[in-house]
Amino acid sequence: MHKQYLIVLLMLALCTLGIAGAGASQIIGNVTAPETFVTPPATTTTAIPVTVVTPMPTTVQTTIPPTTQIVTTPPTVVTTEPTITIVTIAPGGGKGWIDVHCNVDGAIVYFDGVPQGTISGGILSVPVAVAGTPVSQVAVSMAGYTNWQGPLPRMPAENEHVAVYATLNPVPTQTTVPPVQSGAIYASSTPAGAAIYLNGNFQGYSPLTIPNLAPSSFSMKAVLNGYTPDVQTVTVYAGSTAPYYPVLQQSPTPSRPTGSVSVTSQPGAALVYVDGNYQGKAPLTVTLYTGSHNFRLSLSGYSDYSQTVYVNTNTNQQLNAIMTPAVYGTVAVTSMPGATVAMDNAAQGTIPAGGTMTLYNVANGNRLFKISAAGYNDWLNSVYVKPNTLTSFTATLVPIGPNPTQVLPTGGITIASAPVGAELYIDNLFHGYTPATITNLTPGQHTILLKYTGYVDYSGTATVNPGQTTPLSIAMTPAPTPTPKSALSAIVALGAVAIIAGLFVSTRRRR
Amino acid sequence: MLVIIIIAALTAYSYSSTKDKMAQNLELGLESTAGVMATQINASEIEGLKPGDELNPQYMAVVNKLRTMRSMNDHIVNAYIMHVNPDQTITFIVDDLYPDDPQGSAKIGEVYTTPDRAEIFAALSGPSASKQPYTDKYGSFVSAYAPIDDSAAGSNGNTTAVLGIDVSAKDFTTYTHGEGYPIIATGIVSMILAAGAILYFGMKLRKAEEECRPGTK
Repeated sequence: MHKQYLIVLLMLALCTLGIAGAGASQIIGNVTAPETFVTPPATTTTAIPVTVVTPMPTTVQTTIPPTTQIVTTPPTVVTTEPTITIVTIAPGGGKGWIDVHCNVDGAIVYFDGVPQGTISGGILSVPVAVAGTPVSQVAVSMAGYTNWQGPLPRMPAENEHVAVYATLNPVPTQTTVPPVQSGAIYASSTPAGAAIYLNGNFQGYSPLTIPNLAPSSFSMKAVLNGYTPDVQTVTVYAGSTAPYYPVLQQSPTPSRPTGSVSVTSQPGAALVYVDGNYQGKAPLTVTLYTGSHNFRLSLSGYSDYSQTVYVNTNTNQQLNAIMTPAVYGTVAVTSMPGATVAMDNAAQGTIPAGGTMTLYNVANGNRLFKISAAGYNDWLNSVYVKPNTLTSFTATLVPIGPNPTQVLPTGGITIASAPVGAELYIDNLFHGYTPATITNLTPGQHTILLKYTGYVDYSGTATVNPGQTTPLSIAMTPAPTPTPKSALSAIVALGAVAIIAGLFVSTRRRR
Repeated sequence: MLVIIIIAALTAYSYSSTKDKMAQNLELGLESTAGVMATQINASEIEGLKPGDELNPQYMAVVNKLRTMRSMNDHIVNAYIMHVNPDQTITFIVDDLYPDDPQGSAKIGEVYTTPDRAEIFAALSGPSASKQPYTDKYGSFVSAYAPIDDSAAGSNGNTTAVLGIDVSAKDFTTYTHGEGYPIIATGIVSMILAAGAILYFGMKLRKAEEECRPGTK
């Protein structure tokens, strides 16, 4: 211990001698402050409130040639800001030093952009010529650390050391990306309830808020039935809600002029079609756009009535369709594909692959159909063809020989009518005259048609149950007798009388 | 002089307003055409097309459909379908010129940078058209765009893609300016006639004044 004190005392003595010989004053310090400044030529220690003081004093060995001193510094001050401390030695000869102190070994020191060396042991001492080009900027850099740069306030004088302190901080690693602040759109339409679309995608019905939108421009659309859609571009800013207040205008209604047509038919209840669209049964009145329209009236047993009517604006026109009894009907024969069809002993062709053959313009009345195919028994029956109506029937051919198929249970119908002797058709096939009992009918619904001259045709359905005979008693209605056209004759007679009277009066006056 | 200035001003105004009107009519016509064409494309027809699917049967079916539709109007030089991505980039799905000109047309997934970006975004909501001719790497055009609705069951009519059609900028200029040339010609002729009339009647008036001056015979 005594030896250490002796060494210190010896060094102090030598130092005192050296300083006195050089006439220099030494300033010791490592003054730290957020800003670079030059310490005055006296020992000062300045500490700012943000500094952190290490608990134990540290010893820094300054390299001030030719004199070497060991200086015990006050507690080290560490700051977060770059610090430049300049230790000034009184001006002397032609060579000085710039001492760059840095906390990172290996960092490269630049004077005005020119590399000077690397920090080693926390310092790089660079000799500079006092009369040479003055250094203005000192920079220190190291990979993985932020660069440090600061001005050199002045060049050192001869044998003067100017200390520069540079603190390098590691480059902060970006661990989390700061979230992008989103915005929103508040949509409220007038009237409310419009469907709101954002960039073409449905979002909901107005009013509504569309949240979490990245700041950008969006194509907005509001759609409401009966209103013209609204389209706008809305810009969303971060942290704010952009308004979208579409005021929808009612769609203009086309002001097309219209007129009406009152349709009647003789006989009544004809089906009315206008431009191919069913409108109802006559009599009726239809309202149509001005212009030509096609009217078609259809009634079973009568030929279709077709007429083109030009509908005038704001007027009511009359169309009285006098239906003419039809002569022809249509027959659809369903049977085995390939079977030949003959009607009233005249060949009609063969059943196509679809299984149904349609015959058009068949004269109404009873027609004898014969369906035949090789290997099958002929199917022969009379079919009543209704005028202007599709009459369809099925002819089931039975193979020649024993029927291998299982016999299904059948039923029957017993029909009595008033008057007796009416023609009986079941499923459009003639079955004789009433009263009659028809057996071997397949269970299910069957159409019954009775015809008798002077009576209205009876048409109805009957249900046949397996193993049972369904009784039917039908009273037919006499057909109405045509009304004598007496009214017209009376009018003609009255007219004739009026003319004669007129002639008589004029003759008398002449006299 | 005032008469000639008025005629010139009226001519210029008529020409300008006619040109604007023609451009507006053309844009409306293009929007209608694009709108109708878009209704003919089913979203399922372009669903699943990915880069490399060019010339496959699904792609070619859409191309043929687009070509058939645009063949109705010789002025439409190109029809294509784009997708607007969530990040607001625009990528091509179908370009009907691709089978004939792979170098001068767009592939599936190719990002489209165009001055008409705003119009394409607007087409997500309804038909839109270029406000003026623009130039991109494919040439100079005036375009119209219309949304293609998705066809999913229960959909609310979301837009799945945007159909675009191009008319060359030259055709557009010819059409909009050409209609105004008769107006300019009429104006010029009117100005010449007015100048002639002014000159003629001026000389006649001067002559009459000279005759009425005392001392003349």
